[in-house]
Amino acid sequence: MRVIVSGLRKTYRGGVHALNGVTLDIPSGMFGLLGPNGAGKTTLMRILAGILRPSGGSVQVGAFDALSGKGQLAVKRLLGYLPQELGVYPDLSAREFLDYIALLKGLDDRQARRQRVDTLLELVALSDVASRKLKTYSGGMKRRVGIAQALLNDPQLLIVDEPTAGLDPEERIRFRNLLADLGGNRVVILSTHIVEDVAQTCQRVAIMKSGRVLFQGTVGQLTQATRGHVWTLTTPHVSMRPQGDLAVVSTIQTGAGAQFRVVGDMAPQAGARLVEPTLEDSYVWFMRER
Amino acid sequence: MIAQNTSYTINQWCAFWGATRYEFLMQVRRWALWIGFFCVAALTFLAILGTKTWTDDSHRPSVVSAFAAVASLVMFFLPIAVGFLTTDRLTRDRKTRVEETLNTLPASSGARLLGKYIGVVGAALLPMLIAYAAGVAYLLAVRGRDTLSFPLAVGPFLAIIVPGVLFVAAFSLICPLVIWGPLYQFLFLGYWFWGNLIYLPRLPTLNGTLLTADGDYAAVAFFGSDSSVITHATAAQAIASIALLLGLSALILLAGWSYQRWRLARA
Amino acid sequence: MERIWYELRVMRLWTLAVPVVIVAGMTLATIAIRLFTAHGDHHTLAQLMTATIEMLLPLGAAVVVASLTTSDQAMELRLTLPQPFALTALLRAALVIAASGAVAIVAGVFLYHWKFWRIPAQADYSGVAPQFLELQLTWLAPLLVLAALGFALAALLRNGALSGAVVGVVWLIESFAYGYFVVYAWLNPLFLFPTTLAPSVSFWLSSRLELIALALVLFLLGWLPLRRGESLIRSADAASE
Repeated sequence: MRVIVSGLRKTYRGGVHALNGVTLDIPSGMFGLLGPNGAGKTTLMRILAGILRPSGGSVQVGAFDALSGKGQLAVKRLLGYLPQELGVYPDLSAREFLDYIALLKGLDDRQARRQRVDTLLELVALSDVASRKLKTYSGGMKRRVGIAQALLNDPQLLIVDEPTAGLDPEERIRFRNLLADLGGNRVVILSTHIVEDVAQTCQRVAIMKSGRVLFQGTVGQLTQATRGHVWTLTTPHVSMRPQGDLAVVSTIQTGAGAQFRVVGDMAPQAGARLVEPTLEDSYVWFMRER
Repeated sequence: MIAQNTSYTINQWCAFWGATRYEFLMQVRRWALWIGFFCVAALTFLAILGTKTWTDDSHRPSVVSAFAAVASLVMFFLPIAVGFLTTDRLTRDRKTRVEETLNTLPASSGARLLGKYIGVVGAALLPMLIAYAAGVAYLLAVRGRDTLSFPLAVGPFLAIIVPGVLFVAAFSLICPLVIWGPLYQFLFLGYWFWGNLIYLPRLPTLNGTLLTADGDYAAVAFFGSDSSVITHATAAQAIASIALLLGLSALILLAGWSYQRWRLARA
Repeated sequence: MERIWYELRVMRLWTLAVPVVIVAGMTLATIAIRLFTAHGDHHTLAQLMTATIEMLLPLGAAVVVASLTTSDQAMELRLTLPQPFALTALLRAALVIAASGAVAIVAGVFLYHWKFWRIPAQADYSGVAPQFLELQLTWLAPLLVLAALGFALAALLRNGALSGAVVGVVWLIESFAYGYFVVYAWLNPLFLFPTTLAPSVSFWLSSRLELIALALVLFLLGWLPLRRGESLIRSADAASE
């Protein structure tokens, strides 16, 4: 299974260019899609999920042309999708909601469907509260219902849009582990602006900004591309920020002054120390570069 | 540092003005508002096309009575659009969870509610004013009425259209807080038909009473216009009718405000 | 059946109570007129009760259909599922129509039995069963047309309140200015409420059948824009902003 996106463009009414020729090659496994808000990630996800029609370009999902009528239906059959803001029916319980979505996904055998729902409720640790109405659920619980519904049809293509936004740290870790487990033999596209989520789960990553892909490759290749551009330096006072064409990634106040971690093209000043880049450094580097 | 005005009075005034301004802007920027009013105005035009009941104004004693007839025509179906398009204004705040944020602000819920109401009324009056102005322009340009009489058109607008819109907007803003939107819309439509449009002597109706919201009393009493239901009305009756509509509007707003406070206290 | 049950739950079950409320309310109003006013003659009461199933039930159904057609709390998710949303919207409209129809049939049995159903001239013949069956066109035609109009307008305009307002004004014009629909031949097929307002018309049956055909066209007209997920997701986004 492979998703190939070529020259994808999307222009909304009013002339907003959300995607400007996006080309991506996404193999099986976890694929991270990083970018700031407004980069075009959600538009790309929605096109892949068959909700939006692109203005140009092509999308191939496995053997199917995802933009043709037949291909779109075929893709929907093997798709699991968790939108950024999952709307739920507040008067249904989690079990009923999943059962209903399973019906709409074409799981007609009642026995098999119920078994699948129970399995997934257990997977997302909601079995105990499965009969409670969804309007009583917390944000984290709703996200878990969301991932359960995405998995109902055992999808070959799983798209999750900002899945950890608004979750507490424990929920986030649980969610990341769950996604990492799922990424074995299917394509999992994780769209996020939280670098840590990608660092912990994805083998491959793409960075988007203003509707374009700035980078795509492995996480190793991404950090490799930033090697030689990340520095730490200490100043006597926090107000004495490093000057020049630099982006400050972090600032730590120490007893002796302040330690800055910066990303830039050259050593900002004497005493600066070259360090190994993290994924976050690389992200900042790419955001700053172009 | 931004200077903060801690005066309670000024704060509430600012809140009221802010709510009025932005509710007005939100409504007039809704394409649904304009399409809705245009569709209803077009249907009204189609419904009266070819009839002589209002186009033939030769029997009307004055130009003002002709203007009043146009105002009455505007009040025929257009309040339906006001009622329907106002239904979601308060419930929308709840759905989008803006209400939660607004409730944490120092501005009182009363000032916000009143501001929202005035904003909604302003936005509703704008397309009605355009429809009314079009009718008046037709009278002046096509039917050869004296163009200097144009300022007299203000009177029928204020006395016939404004009170009815204030009344409809107040109920349509508040009632959906406790009644499901579509059900309210159904009931409102039934009310408008039964209470303002039809008059069957065999059936009890609000039409022809002081509670008529389509401005018939003002049209007959102040401007000498004719009405199919009210043949004669005194100025006192017209004033009483307007006062009743405004009083009921104030009452329903007060009830809505109390309900919101009660809900907030209960939460 | 499970699917239908879930759709009803999602639409909220009390949506189905709307026709019951309408019939119950109008029945109470009719009884009150009979008891407390001097105008409770049989003719007036029959006209009121016929209006209930011919005019009010279809209006209620149309407003509800208009409000439901493009609104779904899980719209984004729905659009990624193999089952097209247009089919779901149509199924929901069908459920609303079925609920109103069921109430109309039950109410109609009583109205017919107690002779509170105004009999149009064209259906005024002997034979209880065929007459009762034909009389069902009284509510069926306006119900289908108004619901289809609400469906089509909501699908095209993607705004339930606006669509409801337009349906409402169409209803008012049909009720208030019905004389045009009687007098002008080209408007005859569009006359929605002849049983209540002009039962003696000679085109009662033909206009009922033409209205049903029109309803099918309107449903088709609504179906087409609903197949485009992009417009639905835009209106869902706008609603949540």
